[in-house]
Amino acid sequence: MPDFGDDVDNAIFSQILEMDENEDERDFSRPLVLGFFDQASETFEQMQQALDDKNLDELSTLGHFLKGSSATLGFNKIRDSCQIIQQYGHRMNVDSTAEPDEEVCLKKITDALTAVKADTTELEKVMRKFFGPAPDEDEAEE
Amino acid sequence: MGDLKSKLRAKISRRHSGIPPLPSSGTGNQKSNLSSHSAESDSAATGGRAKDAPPNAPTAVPGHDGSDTQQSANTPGGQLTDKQKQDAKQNPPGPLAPAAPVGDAASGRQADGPGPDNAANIDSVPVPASATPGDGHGPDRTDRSTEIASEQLSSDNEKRPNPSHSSSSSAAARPAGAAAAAVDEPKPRVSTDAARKARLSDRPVSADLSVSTSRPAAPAPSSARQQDSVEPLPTTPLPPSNSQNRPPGPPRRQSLLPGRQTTLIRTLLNGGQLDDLDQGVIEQLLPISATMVTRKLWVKRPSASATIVTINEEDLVDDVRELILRKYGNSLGRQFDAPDLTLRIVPREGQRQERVLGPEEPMARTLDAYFPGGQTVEEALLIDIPLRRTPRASPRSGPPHAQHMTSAGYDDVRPLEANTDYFGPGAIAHIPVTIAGAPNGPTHAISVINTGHVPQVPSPGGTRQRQYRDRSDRPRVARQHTSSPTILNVVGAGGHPATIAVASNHEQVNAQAAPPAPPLPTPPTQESTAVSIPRTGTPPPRSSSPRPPATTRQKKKKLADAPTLPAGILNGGVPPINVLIVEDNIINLRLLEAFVKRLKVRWQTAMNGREAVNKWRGGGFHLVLMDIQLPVMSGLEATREIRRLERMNSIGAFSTSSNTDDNDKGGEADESKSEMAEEDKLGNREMFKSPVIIVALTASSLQSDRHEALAAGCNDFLTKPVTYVWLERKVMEWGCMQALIDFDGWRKWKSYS
Repeated sequence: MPDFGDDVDNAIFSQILEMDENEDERDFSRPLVLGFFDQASETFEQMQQALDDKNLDELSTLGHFLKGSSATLGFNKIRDSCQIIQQYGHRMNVDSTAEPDEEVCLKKITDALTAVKADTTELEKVMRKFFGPAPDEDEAEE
Repeated sequence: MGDLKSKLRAKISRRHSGIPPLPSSGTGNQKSNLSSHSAESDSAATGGRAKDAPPNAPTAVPGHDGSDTQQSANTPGGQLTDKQKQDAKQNPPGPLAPAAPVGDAASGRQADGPGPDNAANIDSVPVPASATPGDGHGPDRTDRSTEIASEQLSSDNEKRPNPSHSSSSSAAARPAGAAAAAVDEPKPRVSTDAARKARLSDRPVSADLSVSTSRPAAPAPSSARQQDSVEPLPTTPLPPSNSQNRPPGPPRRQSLLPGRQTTLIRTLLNGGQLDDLDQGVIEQLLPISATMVTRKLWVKRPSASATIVTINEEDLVDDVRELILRKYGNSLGRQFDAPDLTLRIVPREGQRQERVLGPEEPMARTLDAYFPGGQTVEEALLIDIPLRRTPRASPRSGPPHAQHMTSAGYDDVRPLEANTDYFGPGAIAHIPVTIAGAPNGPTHAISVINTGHVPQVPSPGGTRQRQYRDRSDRPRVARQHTSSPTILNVVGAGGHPATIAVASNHEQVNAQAAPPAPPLPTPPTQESTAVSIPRTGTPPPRSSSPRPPATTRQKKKKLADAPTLPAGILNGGVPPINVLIVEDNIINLRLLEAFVKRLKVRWQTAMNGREAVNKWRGGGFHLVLMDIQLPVMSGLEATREIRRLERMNSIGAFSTSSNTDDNDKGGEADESKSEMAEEDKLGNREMFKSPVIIVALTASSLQSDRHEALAAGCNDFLTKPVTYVWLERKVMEWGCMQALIDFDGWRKWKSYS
């Protein structure tokens, strides 16, 4: 399995790859991972919407939601950004101290969202390359 | 290089030991001894040799480099080597090859030659060293040739057809080096030029000849050393000159004296009065070189047979312990470190008290002091081992077996069990307890968790199981369902009969289940009946729990609750439980499904808390994996709701606690039902034999979250991301507990019938 760097928890990610019965086809992990990016982009849209609405609670929920799946796949960088979004959605700083200023929260979330979008886009490229365009052309190998 | 060297050395030593007939038996013994010795303590010896060799003999240095060997042929031997090489070249590689090998051997000898000449000290030692370096280089440059050469050497002993490589000077040189290495052992003995010459003359001859020549040539010093290392070797003192005909060596004796005590040695060798073992060839013993002396040391474990350990003269008791560990590689080496061992010496004649040797004591001197004249087998040092085993990292944290491990003598500890303490010996002990607690569900469950012995479930029931087994009415069925891989692994690791037994039970159950029975056919408690039924339906397709909802299936579920537990028992491997996965994130859900599928347990999914509660109401679930943050109804809310309904319906400790009174349960349930709101009634009360186990899936590892989850009624929690290993553990732990509970009920039912 390739090393995706610090952005990806290799132990967790490899565990997912191990669930594949066939390493060439990756019937399990490919849809799962690629599905994540679909989910992520949807979530980003919702986040953007919530951001526009200044709906911190919604942002927190969305952040938590995406944090869950990114953590599941071992996408640590995305996970951390989502954590930030969730925290500020809760009107809290990353260290769980209260952040009463909602504007600050929104600002932080905006930054985090921007970052996580970029990270996700980048990671998606890597992953799409890893899994290959299609099952048949899959280049994924250890 | 290092590896190559060591390998080569090993090879060499082997070859030597396997050396063909030597002219003189005595020599032969020496050789073998030497080889064995070198093999045993080659690292140290080699090191010594390497260092010593260069200064003593310039040749030795060249020896390191194959090519150099030729060039540096300062010594007569070297020249000879060249000649030989030339000869080899002249001779076609084929049959004539032997010549080349000789040359190699000669080169090797050259290197060695100086060593012996200089001092007996390094006799045997220097040789290997020089040989080794040569070999090392050889492989690097011309691996193939070297390999071949060495191989041939090994097989032929010293004959080595010179490969075509010999044509190229460098190549030839390397092979030569290799050859030298191969022949090193023999060479060492050949310290004198005469010996070399002899070899040279022999070179056309077969390797055997050359070898023999070299051996006889062995200088006295070398022999002395041999003696030290190998007591038994006492051969006739080898005259510095070659003597091919030697009297057979005396029987093996252990050398007791340090090399320095030359006088003693001499006395030993010549006087003969000292040897306890054999008098005979004492006079013929070879002179002993003071340095690099090795000796044999008898050691044994209490009430075990003694064994010999070869030690160096300078070794401290601490070194000896290390060697002992090597010798007892299996029984001690795997579990103990050198410092763990203590050596006891039991003096002769009881003049002194037996005592424990301190690690800093010089072994050889102590031996001499205690056993003047040599240590006999009966006087073997006693190896004592601490009862406490060296702590080893246990794969699983659960230390429940620690007690066992501690109490068990080292002998008793089987590595396997120790390593897989999950099902360690302690498991059995815990089982009974677990069972007793089982009725109460959660509480006991904890005990199970703590013990970490899931598989116990089967074994514990000893009595029950037997009863069960004894029942003729239960058909014995071959395993129909593949047990989950997990279980298999477990069994393999722990090798616990109990686990296996369980499996068999499961099989039986399955068999019963197999014939689809009407939901509540049997008279016994409804629960029991239900159980049997669900099992029937459920078992085979576990992996795909989400099957097309058939009427049967629903029955299963409901039945499953009460019966579910039994069902688990029925199936081998992971207890056949029914898991409800509550997770709103499709990604996580899919992965969890995949995990659960691999665990071969049945499962259903819910995407929010409300759905989870509704599914739970269907009954038949043993385990709920509950995400905490869920839409509509959070995981905690859902958990609270489930717990509330369980209370309302008297599911749990009360009812279950007394599996005995299933009837009572029913009664209670009815009563409670009457009291509670209609909406809270569980229509299929028999499906809920015990409170469901709820494992919270928490995204954070915050203690507060965990406490909150536990407060809400969760039994346990997993931190996301959930790993397969952990999930498997939880499923095993909780699943087995549930299975236990169910088993109890099932047994009850049995007894009724």
